[in-house]
Amino acid sequence: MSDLRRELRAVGIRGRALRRILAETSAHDPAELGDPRALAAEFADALAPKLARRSAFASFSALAVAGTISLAAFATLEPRSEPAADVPLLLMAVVMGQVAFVAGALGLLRALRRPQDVRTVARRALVGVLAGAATLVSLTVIAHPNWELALSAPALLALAATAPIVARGLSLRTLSTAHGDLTDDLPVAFDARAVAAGAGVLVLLASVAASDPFDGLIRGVFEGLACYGGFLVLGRFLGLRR
Amino acid sequence: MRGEALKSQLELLLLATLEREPAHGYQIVEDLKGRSAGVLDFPEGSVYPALYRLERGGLVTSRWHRVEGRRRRVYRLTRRGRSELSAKRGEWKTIVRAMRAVLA
Repeated sequence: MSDLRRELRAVGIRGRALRRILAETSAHDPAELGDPRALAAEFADALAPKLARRSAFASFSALAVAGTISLAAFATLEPRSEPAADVPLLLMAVVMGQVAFVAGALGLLRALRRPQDVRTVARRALVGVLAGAATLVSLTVIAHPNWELALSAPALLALAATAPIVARGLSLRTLSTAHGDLTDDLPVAFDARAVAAGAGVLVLLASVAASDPFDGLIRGVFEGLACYGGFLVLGRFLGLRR
Repeated sequence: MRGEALKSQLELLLLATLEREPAHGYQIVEDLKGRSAGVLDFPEGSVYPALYRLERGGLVTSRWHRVEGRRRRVYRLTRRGRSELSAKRGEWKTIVRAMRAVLA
């Protein structure tokens, strides 16, 4: 039985799930249970979908809270006495806010479409939660000492509360290790360059509508580059590209 | 009968076993071996991941009970599990008839 315990730990099964498995299998002759390594892998596969869904839903819910507060903060934010000092923080909030939304949404999508792929789901949840926290912290620093500071604390706590479930998802080793790509999530073919260009054009058009085309051009180029850069940097880790 | 041939039918066998009465894992294994006169011989541990999958799919539920002084997780078929069993049983009978016709 100690062999099974060791193998279960090796595939990332711990806590209540580990105790349940050991309690249930304790009635059997260990020699009749089968190869502990193969059995542990089977258990990991059986537990993966539930863990993936819980990880994705928990992180997406926490991100929804953080996103609502961030949007409210953006809408009411007043620059401090030295606005130049806020630019890097604002950039961070804008970029990380989008990363959080995209990672969280794609995590949820993968959990619904391929719940067996718990590690990719957990990775997306992790990136979403970290980016969400970075967004909140940036906005809080800019807003200090206004009301957003008080609201961001529970949102940060909600994000932090997802850590145990995301960590469990990251540590679970299932038989399927391929992270796939965005074709596993989306019903249509995905072209990262086209999406980045589209995002840039949307930002440009929004600025043109607000009668600021030059600023819009700069923002549009930045948006497109940030979008494509994010795809290149995080693509493999998040299972967006092979 | 070992390996993949049994593994693919294990969930159906578990549902059929639980149709008679709620049971814990060890009892299920003993029942399967007894009713098949030892033909269905498989690694006993593989029953549990299959039971977890059935539970996740809402086909069985489970609760801890004390059975003969020992804490056991007892599995029970749900209504959905019964209708799934009925459907799979029908499919299985069709396959058996077809196999017989081909092999005879």
